[in-house]
Amino acid sequence: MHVDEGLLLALRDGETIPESADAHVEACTVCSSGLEEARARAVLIRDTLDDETESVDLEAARAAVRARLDRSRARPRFSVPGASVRRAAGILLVAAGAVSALQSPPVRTWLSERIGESGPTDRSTAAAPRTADELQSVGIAAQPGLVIALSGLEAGDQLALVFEARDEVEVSAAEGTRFAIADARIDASDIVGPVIIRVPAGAPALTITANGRIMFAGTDAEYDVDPSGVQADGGWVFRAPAP
Amino acid sequence: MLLMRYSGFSYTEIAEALGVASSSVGTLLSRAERRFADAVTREEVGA
Repeated sequence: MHVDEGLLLALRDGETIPESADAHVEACTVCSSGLEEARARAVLIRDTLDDETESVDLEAARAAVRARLDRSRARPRFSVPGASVRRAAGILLVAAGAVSALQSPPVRTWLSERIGESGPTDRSTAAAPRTADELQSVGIAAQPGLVIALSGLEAGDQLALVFEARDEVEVSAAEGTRFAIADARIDASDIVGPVIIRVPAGAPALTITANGRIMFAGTDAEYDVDPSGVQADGGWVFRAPAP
Repeated sequence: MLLMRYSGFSYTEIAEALGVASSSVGTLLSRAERRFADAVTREEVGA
């Protein structure tokens, strides 16, 4: 099996990668070629950025990011990044088809109003809805589409969002929840409180799986849901199954 | 992300600043680079 592009870039950029991957690239013509291509691309990008950013005070920008990193490190591990970094992350990661951090108080209000009437309460440890300030989010800003809320998830439970194409949803959960973001999927673990997923109109299909059970599959316009779902205006509320 | 990388930030620093897993930075950067390079190439061809 060949080394994936992420590792190739890490190797190109002098980041630490497994020795086995390094050795494979040296011995594999396909991966060596990929590495050379990545190096050529780096030259193109560096030259282009140098041309396009002559009027930008890069030193000031670097200092600002460094200051934000320092502040970020001083905060709790899962606090929401500050507004400017959030905007930058949104812009840059939209281009990368990945994630940013955003807040969505209306969704939380919607959830808070409905979570208590969302279905059976067979999970005695189900967490109460959190306030907007306690929630963290990952995902790309979503236009109105479909809102999906999952309650009853707790530490040790697993939530997976798998996309057919680019990641185009916003996922919100209380501070403390861990998100792992990879190609075309987001996994949540150590889940605290309800999880809210906003699927923008026209987004590619995704599948939401909680503890191995598919809760939702499809797009905002055409989808299948788990029978336990309760429909509310603008979306669905699910109670996650036990692991 | 591209600006951060090409300003000399490490993958760990990029991951911290953007709130993503450091193991995802290479993949995200790769996608961003490809899109950027494609856009530059298209612009050059169209010019």
